[in-house]
Amino acid sequence: MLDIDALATLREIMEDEFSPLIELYIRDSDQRFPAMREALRENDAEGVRLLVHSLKGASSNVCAADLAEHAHRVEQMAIDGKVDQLATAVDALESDYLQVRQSLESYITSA
Amino acid sequence: MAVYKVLIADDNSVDRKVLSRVVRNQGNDVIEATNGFEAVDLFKEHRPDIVLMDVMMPGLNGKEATRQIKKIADEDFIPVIFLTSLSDAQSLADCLDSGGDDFLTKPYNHIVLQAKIDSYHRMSEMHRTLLHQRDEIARVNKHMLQEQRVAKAVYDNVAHAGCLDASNIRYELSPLAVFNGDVLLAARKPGGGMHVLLGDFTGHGLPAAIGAMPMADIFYGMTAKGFGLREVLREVNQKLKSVLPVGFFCCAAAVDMAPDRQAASVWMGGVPDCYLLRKDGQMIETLSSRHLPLGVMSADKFNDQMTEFSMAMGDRLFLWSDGIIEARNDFGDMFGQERLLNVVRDSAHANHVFDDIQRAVDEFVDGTEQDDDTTLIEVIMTDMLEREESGAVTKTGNTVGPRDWSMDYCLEASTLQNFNPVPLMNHIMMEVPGLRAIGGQLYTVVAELFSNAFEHGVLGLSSSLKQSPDGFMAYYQQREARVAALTEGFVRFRMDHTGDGDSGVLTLTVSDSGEGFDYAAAPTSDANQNDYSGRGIPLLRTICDTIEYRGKGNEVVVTIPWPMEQADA
Repeated sequence: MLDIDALATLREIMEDEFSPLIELYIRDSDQRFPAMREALRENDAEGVRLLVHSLKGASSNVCAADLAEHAHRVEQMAIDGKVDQLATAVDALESDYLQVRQSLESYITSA
Repeated sequence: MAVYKVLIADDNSVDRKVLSRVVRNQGNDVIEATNGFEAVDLFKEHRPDIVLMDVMMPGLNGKEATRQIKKIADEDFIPVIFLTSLSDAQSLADCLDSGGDDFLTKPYNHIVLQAKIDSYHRMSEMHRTLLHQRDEIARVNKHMLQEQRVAKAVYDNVAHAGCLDASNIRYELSPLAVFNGDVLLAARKPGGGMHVLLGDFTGHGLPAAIGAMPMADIFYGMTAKGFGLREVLREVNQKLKSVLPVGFFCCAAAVDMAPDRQAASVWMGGVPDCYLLRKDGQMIETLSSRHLPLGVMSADKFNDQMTEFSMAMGDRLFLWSDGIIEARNDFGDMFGQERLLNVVRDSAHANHVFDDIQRAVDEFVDGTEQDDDTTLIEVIMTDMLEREESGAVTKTGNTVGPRDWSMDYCLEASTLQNFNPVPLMNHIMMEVPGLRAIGGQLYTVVAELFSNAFEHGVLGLSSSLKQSPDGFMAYYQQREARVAALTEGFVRFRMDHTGDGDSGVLTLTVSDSGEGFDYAAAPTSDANQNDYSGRGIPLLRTICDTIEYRGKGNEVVVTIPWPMEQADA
């Protein structure tokens, strides 16, 4: 789920900014899911796409490659206009994210 | 390593933080912008060296922000590298089309990232150097043109003192020719006639103009004081030799137009063949360079030998620099001496030659960029006795200066061989303000009397020789030989002047060591007709109040009262 080697490298790069970066990732991402649902309610597929796109980029930066890949599939779905499938896909993406979030939190507390 | 200022614009804070950290870790300063608007504002405020720009941002997207930044940057080269997770060719090409300089795909490769930042920094440096040098060149060029304008103005004041606009002269000279190295000078001699000089300095620009300055100065100054062309050339050569660097010199053709003896003396050094065209246009004589250019030989080795050509009224002389001969057409062929001669030969009338040459050269080069100037002058033999206006003498200025004085001046053989006393005599007379108004006439009188005393008296040459063109040559050859062999003899001047400041009388006595001549038999006798007129006595009669020969004819006394009756002039 997390590329631990890559995460170690990132910690080396970021030094004292590593924990704040992870916290920033979690804070940003936590806000994105309610925002995606809001966009869904308004039938705004493009809004969903932008939010998922950001999650994808941020996730790949914190070494959550699987989550980034999952986000990429949802983004493609939004681009293709499969609005009826998006609600379920966002739920699945969030559950994936929550696992990543838990792993990241334990990684920074253990470090 | 230099510290670069890097602006990172990305709305995704995690992406931005990571990239920012990486760029800072590599030793750069980072400014972070969270959207396009902020990117533009921060760019104005911090003027970063390079911009890393996310393509997709809410509000003002990366492409539009880049357009605005490039506009603000104006001439400065600010590289913008787009950050994108897209990897298809079209999306990447779109980034560059919208004004970006490069792209970087996410996730970033840190090594490539730093290499790109370094590479673009080098490019910016190069661009800055280029702008700086461009501005420097523009500044230097402006300065140079300014200097040339000033130099041209100074030069014009010196060079245009002459009589290039005289009715017997036509010429073509580019307005900025002084900076192409070509010079045209023409001045009236105080005793009538004219000196003309066409010069072509090696090189272009200021070095050529600098050499032209003393040349023009000497040419006009010495001609006005009555020096002969040989002395002028000798002085110009010496001056150029001393002021020009080695390898710089002046090819020149110089002509002494002497309408009184219907002849022209020509000195040519390093210029192409020139032509003398007879009045009827039928006969063309070729004049060739016989000397090295001015400024090459030291004073003691300089050859001032002139070639004498008889020139009847209406005969014309064409002189040019090598610009005409070397004018090239599109194929790189030169106009050449042969084409030039053909144009002169084929002209319908002598009057048309000048225009025909100009037209032929223009048609030949047909718009090709000229690397040398085409300088051309036509001088026609006329009586040229119209004098330049003498504004030097004012009515009220006459009371100062010497009034009653006399002097004796005797020149011995060794002096006579290589010294012309006429300018000095003239100079002394010109101290009397009232005599300045008739300087030209006085010059004629002194020159004529001296030449009679020296050539006919001391050297014993017969003036009858000068009656035919062939005899003319013989006369000058004999003269040269006898001057070289001269060991004894003298010419003595005595000048007496009396006056009250408003009027006066100058008495000139010239005696020589020669045999004299039978002046008593003079005006009516056929036998002595040639000798008499050969001594220029009719000319002297128009200027002098009295002319009296004494003894055996080797002493002559003339009186010249002033002010002169204007009707006589």
